[in-house]
Amino acid sequence: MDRKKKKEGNSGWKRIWMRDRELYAMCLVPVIMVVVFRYFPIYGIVMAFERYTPSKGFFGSEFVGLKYFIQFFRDPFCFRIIKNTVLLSLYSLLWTFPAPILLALLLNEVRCSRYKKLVQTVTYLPHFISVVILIGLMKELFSSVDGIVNRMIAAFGGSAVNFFSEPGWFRTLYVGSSLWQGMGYGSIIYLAALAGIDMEQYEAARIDGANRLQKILYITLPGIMPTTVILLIMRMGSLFSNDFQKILLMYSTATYSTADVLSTYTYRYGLENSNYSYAAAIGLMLSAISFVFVWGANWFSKKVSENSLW
Amino acid sequence: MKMSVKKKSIPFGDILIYGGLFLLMLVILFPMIYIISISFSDTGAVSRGEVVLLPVEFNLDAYRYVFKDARFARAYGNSIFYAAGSTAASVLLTGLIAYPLSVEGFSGRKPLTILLMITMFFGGGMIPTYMVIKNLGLLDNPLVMMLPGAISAYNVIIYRTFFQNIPPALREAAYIDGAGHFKIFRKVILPLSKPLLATMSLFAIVGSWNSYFDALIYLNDSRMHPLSLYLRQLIVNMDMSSQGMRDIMVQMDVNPRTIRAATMIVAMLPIMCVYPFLQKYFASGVMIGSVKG
Repeated sequence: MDRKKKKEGNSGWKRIWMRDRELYAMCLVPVIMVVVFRYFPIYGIVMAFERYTPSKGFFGSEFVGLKYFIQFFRDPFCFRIIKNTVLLSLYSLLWTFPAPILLALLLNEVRCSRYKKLVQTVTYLPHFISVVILIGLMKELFSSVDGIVNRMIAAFGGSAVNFFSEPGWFRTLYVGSSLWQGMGYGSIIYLAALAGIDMEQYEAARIDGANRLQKILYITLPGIMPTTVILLIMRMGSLFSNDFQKILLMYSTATYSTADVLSTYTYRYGLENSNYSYAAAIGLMLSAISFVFVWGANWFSKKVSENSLW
Repeated sequence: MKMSVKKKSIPFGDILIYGGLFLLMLVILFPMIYIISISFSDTGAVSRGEVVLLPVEFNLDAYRYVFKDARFARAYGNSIFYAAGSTAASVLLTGLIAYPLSVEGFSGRKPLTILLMITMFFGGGMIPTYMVIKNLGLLDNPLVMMLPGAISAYNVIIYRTFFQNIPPALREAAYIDGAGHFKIFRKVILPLSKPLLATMSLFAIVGSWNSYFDALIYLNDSRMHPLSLYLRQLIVNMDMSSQGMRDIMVQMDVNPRTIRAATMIVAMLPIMCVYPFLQKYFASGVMIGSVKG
């Protein structure tokens, strides 16, 4: 009896538990799954510092410290891979970041709503095409033997280009296909931001005699600035992680000199050659750098403007 | 009045904008039209390079071949199975964790939110995740296509926000009537969340249908491969090498290019059917937050 009384007096913990236990029961399974599928791998990062042997597991494997990190920087391909990763991302950012903004601005100028709707329907569509099919389309169009692009080149008197096995073409194909696929869908968020701009501003500008370009420059662009900054910060985090699933389908030993990036290298070493720890070490560096980049971009944006992710 | 409006000359800027957008549409549509035309064309015409925009010597041979291929049928079935399973898992599990988070005054709200938020910024990466899946014995198990990706912090936030916008009075009324949270969730929250559930399901289906990488690393058994992996072999690796396939190809007088094109079209078909419904939701508030990712 005494005990029971004591427990009840023991703050409201028990009461809260009684009140909330059904809610806890409800999210039990999802929470376990989050822990297992998201947190176990985070713990599994220790394998980057171990000579990981699957039979011994994360706990039993021999600790080797920074061995694999040093091994990576001594790797003759290290520089090439880092260079490829950064260049591919930079080119990608340079083209695919402004393109949706431009499209949204153009769409915003279209007054015929049916035409606008049509353009939207068409440009959003490629986003839903799987990356495998995207590469399939590209291989058909740019095939070295009888792809239509090469036939056109031949018709104009040029000689056939082997697009998929020439390292010089890889980045163009990669960025071009990203544009084709993502430009329309990426514009949605900017269109939403555009819809939020106060129409009275345009009215006032019209009365002041501003032309179309001036309205875009002084009203529209500042209006979508917060969205743009937030999205740019988010893009910063992926500056070191390219669309690796696409590269994996596109590249071949012939194009490694421009196409091999950190994540494909990790995949090849880790899963194809079973160098688990080495690959995990590279993967860890990749996520650490990404995190620093998001954090840095966010800090910078907070400093120079009002916009930040957190 | 109308006349005068019509007669007003079209500004140069408009021509540029409408024309530019028209060109953009052409560039986007051309590869798709081209591939459709190839799939319906005669093999001879395709290899002679006669197909430019429209099918030449229309026929259905390539499709007949595709539908005869047992591997294709199996992969198609697998993909449907994985899409259904992963969508069900995702909607149910996300709902189950999002509901408690939407209840005002729930004591676990803060710790659980933090638990989820952390996963947005940190992850184990490819190799440790692979090892965890392997240690759990999920390799070559259909569940691996459904469970690991079922809960994303992003989706939980969308669900939670939606649940929070359901008037709390409805929940409280049910609570006073003696209903527990499970019952409220099932009888009040879920029926009121149909638009959300429909949208999220559609996106989950598309995501599952289009993904290939998880299957590539987790499923070794080719009988379990989803359509995307089958396509990868067919398209990307240009693997038309198996003897049985070559025999059928000779016998049916089809060309790898028409077959590839037809396979891609059939694989895209479900997505194209869902697309009009997806589009309806793009601009709606539900999806604004999740445009990225």
